[in-house]
Amino acid sequence: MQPELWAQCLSQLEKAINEKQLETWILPLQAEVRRNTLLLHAPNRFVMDWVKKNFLDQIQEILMQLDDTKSMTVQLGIGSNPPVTPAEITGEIPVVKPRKSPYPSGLNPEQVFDNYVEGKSNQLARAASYQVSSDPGSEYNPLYIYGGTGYGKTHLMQAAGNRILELRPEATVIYVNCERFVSDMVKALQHSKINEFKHFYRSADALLIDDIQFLADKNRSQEEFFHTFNSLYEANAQMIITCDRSPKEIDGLDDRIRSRLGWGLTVDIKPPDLETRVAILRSKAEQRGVELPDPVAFFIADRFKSNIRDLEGALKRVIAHAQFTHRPISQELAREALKELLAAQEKQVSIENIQKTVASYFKISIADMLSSRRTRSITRPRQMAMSLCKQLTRHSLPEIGNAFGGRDHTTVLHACRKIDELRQEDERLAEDYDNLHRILGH
Amino acid sequence: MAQLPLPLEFDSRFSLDNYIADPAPYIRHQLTALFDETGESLIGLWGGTDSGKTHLLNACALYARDADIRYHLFDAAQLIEASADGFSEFAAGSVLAVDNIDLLAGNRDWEAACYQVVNRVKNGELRFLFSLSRQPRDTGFRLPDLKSRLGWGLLIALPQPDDAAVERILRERARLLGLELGDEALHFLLSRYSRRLKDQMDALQLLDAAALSMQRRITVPLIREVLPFQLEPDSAR
Repeated sequence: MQPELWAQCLSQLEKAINEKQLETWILPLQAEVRRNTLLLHAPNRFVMDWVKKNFLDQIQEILMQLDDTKSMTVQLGIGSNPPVTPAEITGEIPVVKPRKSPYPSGLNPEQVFDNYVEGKSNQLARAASYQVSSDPGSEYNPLYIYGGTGYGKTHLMQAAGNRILELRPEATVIYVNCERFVSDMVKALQHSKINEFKHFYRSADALLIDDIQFLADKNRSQEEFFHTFNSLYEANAQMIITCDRSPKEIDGLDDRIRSRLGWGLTVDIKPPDLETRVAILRSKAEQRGVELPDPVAFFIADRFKSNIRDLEGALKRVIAHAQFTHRPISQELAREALKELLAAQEKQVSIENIQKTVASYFKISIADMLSSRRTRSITRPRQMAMSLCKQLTRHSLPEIGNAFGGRDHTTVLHACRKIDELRQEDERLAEDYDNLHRILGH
Repeated sequence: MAQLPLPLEFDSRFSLDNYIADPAPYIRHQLTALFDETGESLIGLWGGTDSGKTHLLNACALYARDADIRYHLFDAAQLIEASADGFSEFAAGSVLAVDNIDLLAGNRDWEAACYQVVNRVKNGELRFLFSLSRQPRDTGFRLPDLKSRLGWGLLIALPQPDDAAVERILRERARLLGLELGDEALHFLLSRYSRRLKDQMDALQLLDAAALSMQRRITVPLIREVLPFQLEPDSAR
């Protein structure tokens, strides 16, 4: 129930500002009168700041006109009017309202195992997710999936969640992005609804938290997550967690959480190889009811290597172009539709850019990289940079050699072979190579 | 261009119909499909200065008003001054647009807020339009998750207007302002003044005001009088 004073204020504001602004900024405010203060509660800081900046003076002015005593002031804050709920009267545990989401449990029913394209890069992660969905809460708990952004972690976790629901329709499966978990918690604290928040997350049979790296440096949220984790673990509820890095690599995370994340099974997803990218394109095209000729799929897959989102973005562009121009999808059309993206991409991955990125990664100078020095701390980065140049640019071996202080093309060839060999043997070097690949946007 | 936080008056100067560029019909088609829910729900307009990003996002406000669709347009330059807390939530069920989103690069809170917005788009909770000066992968966003998510949408590259396009746009603007701008005056302006579209538009606005107050037509002598210092000398050409 809004106080009469605010109702009057609103009717004045209706005349002063347009309907859209009223609807967007003013109507979400909840008012409360305490002594000589009109307290306006905004649902979040964003709305509060806008109101403060754009409408507060106006509100104050109207209030002055309405208030005969001229003693009322306005205060803005975040929150809501203290609710009078049956729970407060009876002392019962509050009933948790279902989350507002177009999907039950926050799951997207379209992300299932059937349309998850399996390849060498994600085989293990897929098998583990499938296993977990068959027998949740038993062997692999939590299941921790990590890998670069856009490699398909979310799809896999959603597929597992959907299958748990399919096999046990009565189960409570909650999918939440970590950022949302954090913001839900902050909101719950602001609106004095933390018990509802706790109850909601701790009552899950399976909790799927995406992108846990967003928990880093958020102490209060980590505390809450820690207790949620313990509670679910003790109840044998399945947890699936994704992250862009392994637990030990997340900076700013409490050690007790880091260790718990490793209690179950940790699996990684690597960048998809060419065949997998082609298969992904075929699958996405099929989902859109579009026929994608093989040469076009290979053309796109060969040029968009960084992640699946870029791949999908490129496919969307090709399809949109074909549909708009009423032309069949061909390599020529794809080239036309993607010309700006490809031009920018080619511009970005230059030999100089690779040299700069690798030098900075290994904390050596460009001058050292191009010098004739042969200490291992210089030769390895140099060889890695040469190998990346061969893989990511279309320059010839002599051109690459020339750009590295006038070296012979056989030196480049040797460097590439050496790095290929070392990537098989040395896990750390392989990881450095993958990281650089990722930084360079491939 | 007065436009934000929400356009007080819908500016009919910016409509999808008077956006002039070669791929205009394609762009119109994709943008209206976003509003009508028959196309992509995440669209990025990517182009340099003068490519028409702000024009198109403003034009969408007009389209949204006519179609009775909730549309919120923000300029990132203003957003960065505000708190990002709650930004992703407040536009649920509507179309949210951020002009110059790459200005938010490096701001951790705003990057996280935009990341959440895209997640919500994926969940079908809202539709999102954004503009930026280069494609997402080349921007300075520190959050790789945001970069990749922005690349997920339908990215439309807006071409830089060449001299011929600038001329067409100026003629159209003069027509909308009700100005009589003869060929001689127009060509003088185009050949002696800055080639940037924005500068030309501003000049036209000045000339409009001057012509009105002096009760004169826009002619070469008037241009010389109103813009004496900005004109490049003959020898510079």
